[in-house]
Amino acid sequence: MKKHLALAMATLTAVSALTGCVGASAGKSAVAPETKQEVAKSSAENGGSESAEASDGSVSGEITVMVNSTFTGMDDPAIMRAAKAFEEQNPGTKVTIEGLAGQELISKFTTTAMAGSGPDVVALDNSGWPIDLAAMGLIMPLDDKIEASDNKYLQGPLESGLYEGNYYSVPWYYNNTGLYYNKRILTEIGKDSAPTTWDELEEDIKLATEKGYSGISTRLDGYALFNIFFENGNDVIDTTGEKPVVTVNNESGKEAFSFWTGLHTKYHAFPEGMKDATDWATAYTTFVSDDCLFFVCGDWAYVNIQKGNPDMEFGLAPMPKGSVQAVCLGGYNMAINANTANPDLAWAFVDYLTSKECDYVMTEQGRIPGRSDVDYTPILEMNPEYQVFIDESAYTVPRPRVKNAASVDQKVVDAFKKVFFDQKTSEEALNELEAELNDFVNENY
Amino acid sequence: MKRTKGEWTFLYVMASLIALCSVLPFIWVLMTSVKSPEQIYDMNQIIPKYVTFDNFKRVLFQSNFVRYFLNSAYISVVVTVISMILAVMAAYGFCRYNIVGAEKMKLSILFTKMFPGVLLSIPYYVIMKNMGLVDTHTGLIIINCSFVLPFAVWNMCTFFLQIPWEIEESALIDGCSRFQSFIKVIFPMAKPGISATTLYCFLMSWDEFMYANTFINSTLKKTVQVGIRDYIGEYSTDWGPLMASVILSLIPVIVFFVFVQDNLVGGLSAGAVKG
Amino acid sequence: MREKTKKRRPDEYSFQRNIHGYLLIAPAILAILLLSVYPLLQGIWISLLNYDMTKANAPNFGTFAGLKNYLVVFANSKYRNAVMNSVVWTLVNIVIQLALAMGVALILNEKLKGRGVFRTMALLPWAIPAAISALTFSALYDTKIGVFNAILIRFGILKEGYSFLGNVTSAMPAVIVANVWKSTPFLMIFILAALQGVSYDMYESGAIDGAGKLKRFLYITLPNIKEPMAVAVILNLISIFNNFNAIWLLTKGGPLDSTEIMYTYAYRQAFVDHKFGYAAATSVVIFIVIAILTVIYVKMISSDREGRR
Repeated sequence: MKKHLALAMATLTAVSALTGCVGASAGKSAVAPETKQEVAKSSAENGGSESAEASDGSVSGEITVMVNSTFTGMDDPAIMRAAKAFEEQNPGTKVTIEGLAGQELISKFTTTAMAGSGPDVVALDNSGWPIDLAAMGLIMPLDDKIEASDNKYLQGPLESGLYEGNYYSVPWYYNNTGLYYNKRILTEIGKDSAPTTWDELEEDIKLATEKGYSGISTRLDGYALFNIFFENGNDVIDTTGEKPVVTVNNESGKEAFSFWTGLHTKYHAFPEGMKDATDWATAYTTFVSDDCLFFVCGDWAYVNIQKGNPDMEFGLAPMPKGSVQAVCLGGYNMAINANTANPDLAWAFVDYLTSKECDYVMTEQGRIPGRSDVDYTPILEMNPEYQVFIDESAYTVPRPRVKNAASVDQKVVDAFKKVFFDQKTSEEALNELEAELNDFVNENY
Repeated sequence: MKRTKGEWTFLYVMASLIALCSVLPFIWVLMTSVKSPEQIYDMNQIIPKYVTFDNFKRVLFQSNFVRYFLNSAYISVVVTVISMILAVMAAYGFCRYNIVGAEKMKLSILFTKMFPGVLLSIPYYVIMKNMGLVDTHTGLIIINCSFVLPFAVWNMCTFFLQIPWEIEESALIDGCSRFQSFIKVIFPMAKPGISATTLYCFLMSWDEFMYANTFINSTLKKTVQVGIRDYIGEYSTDWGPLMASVILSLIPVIVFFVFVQDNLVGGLSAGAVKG
Repeated sequence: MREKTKKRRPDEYSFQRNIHGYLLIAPAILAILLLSVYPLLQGIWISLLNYDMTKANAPNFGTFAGLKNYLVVFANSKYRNAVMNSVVWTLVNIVIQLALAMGVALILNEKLKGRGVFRTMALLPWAIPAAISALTFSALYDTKIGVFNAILIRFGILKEGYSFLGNVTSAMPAVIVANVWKSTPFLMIFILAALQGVSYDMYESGAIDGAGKLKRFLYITLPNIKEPMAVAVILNLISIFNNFNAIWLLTKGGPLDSTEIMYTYAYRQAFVDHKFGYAAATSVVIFIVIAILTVIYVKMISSDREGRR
């Protein structure tokens, strides 16, 4: 069985390397497996050994793996099964999985790693945590290992762990946002399909607010708000050069910000409840109350909206297009603690957990693995509408790759709030944001 | 003290109002704990139309809750006992002996409570690591004691100051040893203060989250406060089991309350009645 | 009285005479100091270093920075905003909590039938973990499904849901209400315990003298519970000033920094921006402010005590 699997994987790798045919082919997200051919060959030769991931010799010892509690909070968590399977394939190893909710996870990892200890492997939100920890020297670069690996990681999520030319993390799963819409309200305003462009979006919102509904809601954080800049081809902060350059206040940025804030100043499109939607649970209530036309959120909202209001009919569409099609990247990467006593075992497990063999850990929960050779069937069986998110992967863009990116998130959200709370005009808020971001870059670089 | 009927009515109304305000948010917790997932988001069922105990069953039988609960109970009881013994000893020492620089010493132990805790967690972790106490309950007990003790000592000192110590002196004259006289004479009078401080110690360590989260790694060594946060996910909150575990975790605290508030009646008033 | 007579005879302070006293206080003092001194000094030391963790490779990382961190922090308008919020947060909290705790304690000190039940209920908020009380209040404040909005709309005070935690003007009052609910029982139980030290004899004599209820409270109750209450207040003040969870779990210091206090600011500096030097400097300032307040306050209590004797 395992032989076949290894062989199959090697073949797959070779084929995709030759054709360059990967799930996400466009621009930034495309995989560039130049060196993969040789790897594939060697892997095919090694196919005779016990398992694909242990090709470079056997590993032993104990490691601790800290992941977000989304994967440990249920009965019989798939990740525990994966850890057990890994232990069986690699006798003499022990893998302990520890689950913690996001914010607690990162502060615990930072604290323990700074004290020279901590779990060997850690799952990190790709919104900037890998880069922060890389800059702090708390996780190790993985370039050689990634190169030697058979896993065909998606370039977009992979780049979210790129710091000073080295990759410090590998994609585990990724997500992006879609446009949820209330079918009843959409029909009521005389539309039969969701908007695909900003103009259509604005028109729908105009019609809905005229009827007394709220237009659009989301959680107020960078994940949702970066979309508007990305959709207009603006990076917020350009990180391609030596030093990051703030681009938020150029033409495309101005246009994006005034479009989005204009939805408030012109139509009062955002519901009152969005003001305190600092977590997703609060954000859902603004949509499930059945009086808001659109809701911007990732895949996880689907189940929660159903749970929140089983009678409400809603649909899911790709994010509407501004000047370009783009959507902000979310999800988690895997990284290895710089303090680990057993980097080989740590990597062997990371390599295994992010391999095709372990896709079930994510797909069982409707999460999309961060590789190009994923079999999406289980996800689509669970919910065919998730095709939207899979299709969007072609143009899913990571946030600006700067240190302390959470701070950038906060500043962008605050700029929006200044207009939302009627304190500043769109122009003033954006000017202030630009100044703050410039200060931020000067302080950090 | 005689009170008129009107005064009594007023007092009962006020007491009921206090109880109501205290309990109101708690009722929401209670109601959520007996709802099924569909009911929790249903705006027409803020008061549930039917109740289910599935959440409690899940928490009790399909999770590590009982284990977390026992861990917390063990840690909190040990912390409370150690802290109270040390605090009563220290407070007695401060009150009954002439210690050079007593006030300064008391202030200096309070200083340790003034520095924001988040930043201390890194050096604390280093200490625990060097002592080999990471991921042990002993380590957590030591840390908890170190932040519960300053307040406990201060509280006991003030309550001891209220006591008319002449009574102890007369007991000493009657031939009691210092320890005997403390147990027989002083302890009953200091009971309200000791009860309140005991409650404080217990709750502080029962409610502690940050250090428990940082220092404990093994699932089976987690405390209740860390354990219940498993139900608060990034993308959604598992309201039913979360609230059910809150209700269950409140049981020992309420038992403790009943015990403490029984002992709040005491002190001089009780002494006076006993004559 | 005791203290004054003793000051005239310094030999009463001799070590030999009080050796038992020293032995009694030693374990507690040593336990606290041994565990706290290193972290505390470490914190103060980092505040004097260049300690931007995300510049861990920079040549000046970890070098002595003098008071640079303090100057940078003081120059930041967000920090000054946090200081103001800290003052408001602490003062309003302590005043409301003290008034409520006093009232509740006096009522629950009466010989009511079912007093135990009332007392237990009044203590209940204290027992609810911080994370849960935050979740509960954010649900109660919710614009759509929150009870507060439901009531206000029912009575026609509001036309549609209002976001208590989301608006700049109401966020601070909203977090204060949540914290008052959670923390008042702490003060209440200590005042209640202190009230037990006021004997009925005192009240009886007061009643016989024909003192009114207010007078009885002012001249008998208050002086007798003043000292334990004062200590409870200072301990509470320290807790409120450094109460991170009450704010972080509800608003994370938002919206637009309207609930950002010094502690959340320090946390943000450390764990969001990874500027541990700034965070430590902020923490040291918090430490110094509380320390000065405490010393003044304790001096006031003890001089008051001397004065009475």
